[in-house]
Amino acid sequence: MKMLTARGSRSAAASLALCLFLAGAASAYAHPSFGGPVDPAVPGTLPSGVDLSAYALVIMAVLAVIGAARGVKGATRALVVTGMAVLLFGPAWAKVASVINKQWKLLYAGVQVSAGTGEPAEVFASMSAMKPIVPATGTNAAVWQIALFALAVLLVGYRVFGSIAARPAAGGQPGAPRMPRVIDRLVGALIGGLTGLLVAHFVLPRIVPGARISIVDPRLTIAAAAAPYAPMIFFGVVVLLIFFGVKSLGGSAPRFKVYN
Amino acid sequence: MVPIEYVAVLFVGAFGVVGVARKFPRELGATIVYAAMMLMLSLGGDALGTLVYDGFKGLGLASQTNVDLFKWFVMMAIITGFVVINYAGQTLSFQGKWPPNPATGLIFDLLIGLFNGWLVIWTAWKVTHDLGYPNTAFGGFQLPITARADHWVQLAPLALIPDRLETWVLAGFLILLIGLRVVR
Repeated sequence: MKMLTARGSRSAAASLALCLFLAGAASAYAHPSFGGPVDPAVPGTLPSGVDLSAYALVIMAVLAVIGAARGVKGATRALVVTGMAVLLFGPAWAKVASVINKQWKLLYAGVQVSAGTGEPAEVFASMSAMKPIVPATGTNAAVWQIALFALAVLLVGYRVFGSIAARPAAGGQPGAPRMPRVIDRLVGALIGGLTGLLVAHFVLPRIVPGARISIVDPRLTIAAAAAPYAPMIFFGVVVLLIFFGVKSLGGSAPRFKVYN
Repeated sequence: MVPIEYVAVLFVGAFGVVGVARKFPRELGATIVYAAMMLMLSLGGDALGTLVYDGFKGLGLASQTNVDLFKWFVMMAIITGFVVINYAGQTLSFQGKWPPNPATGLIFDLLIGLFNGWLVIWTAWKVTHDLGYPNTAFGGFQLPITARADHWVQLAPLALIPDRLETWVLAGFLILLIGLRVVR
C-alpha cells in the first residue's frame, strides 16, 4: 500500500510537472513572455440587448431539479446530448439544413417515381428546382433550429418518449433501476444546471435577437443581485463539496495509520 | 501576448487535471496543507519576507530598491515549497473507497483539483499583485495588466475573506479539515 501510494505520489508529481510544463509551453508558444495587456477592458458600457439572465436562471433551476430527480447518469447523458445539439444546430446549421433538404428531396422524388406520377428524369429535374424546405438563414431558420434542438434534447437527452412509454413492472414497481443516492442527486442537479445554461444560451437569443445571458457578468441583473453574497455562496459550495465528498468515502479507515 | 489572467486560468486548469488523476481523497489531503499555507501567509508571510531581506541587507547583499522583490521571492518560495511537499512526497490523503460512481467521482475530483489550483495560483497572483509585480525586473512580463485581470485578482482567497475574519476563517477551515481527516 505504502509503495503504491509512493508510486501514486510520484506519478501525480509527474502529472503536475507535465501539466505545468504544457501550460507554460502553451503560453510561451502564444507569446514568449507571460502577462501584459491585450484586451483593454471588461467593465464599461454594456452592449445593447435585452438582459434575459433571469429567464436563463429559471431554465437552469428547472433542469437542475430534473437533474436531481434523475441522478448523475441521466443528467450527464442530457448534458452530452445538449452539447452536441448546440454544436449541430448552431455552428453547423448550414450543413445540417443542406443535408435535411437533400434527404427530403430524395425521399419526395423516390415517392413520386415509385407512384409512377412522372419520368425519373423529369421528377429529379423538378426536385432540383424545388425551394428548400429548411432555410439556412433568417427568422424561419431559428424556428427550425429551436424545434430540432428541442426534439433532440427531449427525445435523446431526456428520453421523454421512453419515460412516457415506461410501464410499471409486474410487482407494481416501475422498470427504473434503484433510486440515485444523495450525492448523485447533488451532482445531477449541478450537471442539470449546466445543461440549463446551454439550453438558455441556445434558445433565448433565437427567440429574442441580441438577448444577453450571463450568470457571472456583474453588469447584468442576476449577477449584480448575487454579487454581495457571491463569497458566501462560493464557500457554501466548497463546504458542500467537502462534506458530501467525505461522506461518500466508503469503507472504514484504519485507526492507527496516519499516512497511507 | 498572453494576458496574466489567462495564464492563471490555465494553471488552475492544470490543477484540475491533476485532481482528476489523483482523485478526491488525495486532493482533499492536499487541501489541508494548502489551508495551512494560507494561514501561514496570512499570519506571517510579509514579516518573513522583511526578515529575510534584513538578513540579506546585513550581509550587504541587498539594496533598498528591491525589498519587494525579496519579499516576492520569499512568498513564492513558501508557496512552491508547499506545492512540492504536497505532490512530491506522501500526502495526508483521506481513507476510504472512492469513487461512489465514475461520473460523480470525476466531478468531485475535478472540482477539488480546481479548488486547490485556485487556492495556490490565485494566492500567488494576489501576492505578486500586492507587491506591484516586482518580477517585471526579470523581463518577460509587461505592465499594466488588463482591467479584467485587475478585477479577477480580487477573487483571490485572501481577498474574498474580510480582513477581521481572515485568521478565524482560515484557522477554522484548517481545523475542520484536520477534524474530518481524524474522524475518517
